[in-house]
Amino acid sequence: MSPADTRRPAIEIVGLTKRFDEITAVDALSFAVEHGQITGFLGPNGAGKTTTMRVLLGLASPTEGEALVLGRRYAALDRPTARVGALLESTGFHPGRTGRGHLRIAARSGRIDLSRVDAVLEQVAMREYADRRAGGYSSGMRQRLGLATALLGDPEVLVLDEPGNGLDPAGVAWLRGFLRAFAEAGRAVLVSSHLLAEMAQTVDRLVVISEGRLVREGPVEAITSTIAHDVVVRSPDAPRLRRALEEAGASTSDGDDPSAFSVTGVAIERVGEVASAEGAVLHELRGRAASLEQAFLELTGGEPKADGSPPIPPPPEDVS
Amino acid sequence: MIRLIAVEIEKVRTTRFWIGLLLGGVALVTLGVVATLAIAGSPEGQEAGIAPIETLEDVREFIATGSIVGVFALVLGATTMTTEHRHRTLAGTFLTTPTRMPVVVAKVIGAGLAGFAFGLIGGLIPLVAVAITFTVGGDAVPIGWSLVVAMAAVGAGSAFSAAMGAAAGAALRSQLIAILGVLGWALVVESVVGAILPGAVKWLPFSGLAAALSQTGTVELFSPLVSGLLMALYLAIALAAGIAVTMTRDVE
Repeated sequence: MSPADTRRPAIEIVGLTKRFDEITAVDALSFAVEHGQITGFLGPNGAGKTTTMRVLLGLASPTEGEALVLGRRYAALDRPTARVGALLESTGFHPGRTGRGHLRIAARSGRIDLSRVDAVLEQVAMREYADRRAGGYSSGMRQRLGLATALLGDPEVLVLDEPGNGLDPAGVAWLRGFLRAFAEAGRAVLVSSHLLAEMAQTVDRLVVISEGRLVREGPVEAITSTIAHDVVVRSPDAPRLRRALEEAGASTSDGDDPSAFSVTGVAIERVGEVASAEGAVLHELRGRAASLEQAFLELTGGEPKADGSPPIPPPPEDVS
Repeated sequence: MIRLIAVEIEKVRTTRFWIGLLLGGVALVTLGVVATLAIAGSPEGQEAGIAPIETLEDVREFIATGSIVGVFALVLGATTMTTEHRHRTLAGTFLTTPTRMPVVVAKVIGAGLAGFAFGLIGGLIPLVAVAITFTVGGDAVPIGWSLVVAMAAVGAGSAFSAAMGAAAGAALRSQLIAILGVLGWALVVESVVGAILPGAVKWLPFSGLAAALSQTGTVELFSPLVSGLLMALYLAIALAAGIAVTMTRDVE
């Protein structure tokens, strides 16, 4: 691996627009991914994440603007898979070819030493299954093979589209640790995922897009802190205190039990002052920060699920 | 380019599809060879216009029976690119080689080489069958340089078919349409044109080349060299179309 030029971002998306006939999939999008960081790429389905990645990787042509990786268009890189590793959600494998066969072909066509094949198979814990035909792989195995392909060239930059899909919890934990070590070595990661809780634990920065446009960009904490958080109140005088808070301009909603409720629209200090003025006994008064899910839903205008839980990833399948 | 051609051949080799096609071609050629040898020289054969195989020239013409494998090579070629669409492996291919034109060229050359191998195997079947027949009958097998040329001609015809299939497959996204399209052209359209306008056969990509290489039949033919140049022109046009479509199309 040749050393990266860290004077400029690893990935630069500059005024990128991609239209498919009348549909604008990506609309004047600009953001950067720095070396040594894991950047999460968030957005609802159809927001333009995969299209942006495909343009970045030279698989689709931009309508306007440009997408650069390591300072150049992907197609202009020498031995591109030795510098940029990519896993796209839509990428498949020939069902009649073994996992090892697939990696050997990727290595030979990418001018990568064939010794890397066994190394990446070991890395993603697929050595045992390497000589089986890919048609018999579970979704988790296919995902691991896709990750192995991305890592084959020991790249400086990783572009991963939903890499956690199909992975079991151990695989997700491995991926998190691997990406952290990868970034700490000064390399860059752009990763999209619907697993928001996992994303919150993994990434350093976030790029949030909706309908092809940039909604917010920055460190995870900076983004979640801008989202209105609430105050959890538990009091034996809950009905009376709720009325007083609402008269003071706050909004309240039901809590876990009749004595609990949550408050938005006023600071936690003001909640305490109102409770004191009302002579209400407090059993709990606690500020609750917005989660990444809440931030994501608010920024992208998405609808929360009934139970407020994050989207559920597809379960891993057994080997068929 | 040599590396990319080797990769394309490895892609074909590491699946089982080519084995099925080759077995199909071998079975069909064997059937034709056995049927021909069974009636050659008999009254039934004479009625069917199948003369006994006795001379070096007879053996040379009989080797052309092996060119049936060209149909299977055509299908093999048509699947080299369309299989990548079907199994969504094209993104991986263009990630390693983002300048797409060399990939298309490598696929066409790789398919041509595989088709040539198919053709040699196809041509070997009638040759071996004739050798066995002569040996069993106690006759000396006629051997001459023209047999090598005939074998090479069957190989070249099959290579052309596979390469044309690969170029057509690059221009067409759907595997089904590509296979049906090339088979329909080679087996139906050219047969109909040949039946209606026998003199036009020499201009047709598949039957024209096959006829020119074997130099059989009653209609006027181009020389193998002229026919070869004409087919090279057809292949260049198909390749240019395949490259143009591949270069401008977004990859899923």
